[in-house]
Amino acid sequence: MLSGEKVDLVAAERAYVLMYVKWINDPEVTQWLKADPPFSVEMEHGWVDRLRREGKTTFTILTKEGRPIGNIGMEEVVWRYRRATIGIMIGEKDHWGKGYGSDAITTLLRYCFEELGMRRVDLITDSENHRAQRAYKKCGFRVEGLMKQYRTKNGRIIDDVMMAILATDWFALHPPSGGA
Amino acid sequence: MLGGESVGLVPLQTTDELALYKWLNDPRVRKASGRQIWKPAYSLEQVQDLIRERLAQPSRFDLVIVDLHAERPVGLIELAHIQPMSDSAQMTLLWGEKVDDDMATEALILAAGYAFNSQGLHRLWTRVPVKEEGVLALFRKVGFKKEGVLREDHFGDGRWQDSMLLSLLSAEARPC
Repeated sequence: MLSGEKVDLVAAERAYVLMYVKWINDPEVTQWLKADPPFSVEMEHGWVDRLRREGKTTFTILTKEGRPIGNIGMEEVVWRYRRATIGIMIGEKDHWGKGYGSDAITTLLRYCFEELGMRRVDLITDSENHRAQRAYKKCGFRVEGLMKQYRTKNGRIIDDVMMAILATDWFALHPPSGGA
Repeated sequence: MLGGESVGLVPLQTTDELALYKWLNDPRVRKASGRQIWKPAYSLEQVQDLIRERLAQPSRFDLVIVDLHAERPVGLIELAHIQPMSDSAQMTLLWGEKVDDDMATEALILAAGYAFNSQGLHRLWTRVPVKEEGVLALFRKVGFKKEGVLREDHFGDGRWQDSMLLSLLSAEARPC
């Protein structure tokens, strides 16, 4: 478990699958995501088992009261370059815009930079998802470029934005507390 | 069970899954173990996989430390990389619950006695982050001697960190 100020990040597991199914089938939740519903309970069980088999680092985000509200994870890790790509989904809509997502991202970034020694963490988001981009910037991400006509969703051709934060950016925002 | 005055050691079993699930999801426990192998979080299914994989490996033996008074598991001693050619093994610790110094010392002496007397090993070695002074002190207390420093061998707390390599030979072990 990784602990933030407002959330804890625990391993994604079968016990939460009904929540995953609820979130991933909600068009409002998936509006900006790559995922295209519908998804069944069996498909989500398969997803959890695949994460486990492949050793992927994917977390379920819990409030400090223990309520699951979404998922966050390292979708790709390239150790050779010490680089990771992350993704996040807050599935509980009543928790949008209240800092839970930002705290989950900050908690994961702390782990990436301070415990794993990553040099760079990046993500891709829909260019029209301005709310998410504001939240990512608040966490220290910077826009690196526009990926034109990168994908389609529901018949819409989408431009994606590449955002990244480097270890130097992270430690400028969060100086090490000292010690050898 | 290998029994001492206050602690006992029993082989790891599949029924220990809930204790390991709790310990491995506690960042303080993982950090104090000084090992880089642990994931940041474990699902119950992942803990079950981990126990099954360990039980299937002939080159390792995992002992659960039991507090005999409270009758509960408090930690894990791992004997890994058991090498029959050199009669050596790596010994590592995972303290799941807070225990006093005497209990911790007794558990280590018991495990070393088991490794030397029952498994017929000749040498135990361990690698401890230099920052983990409490763990280093514990190993030294039971007789482990410093062999050297592995410079910047792992990343943690925002920088590369050193580890100390220590070993204990069967002739140096304290009696159980």
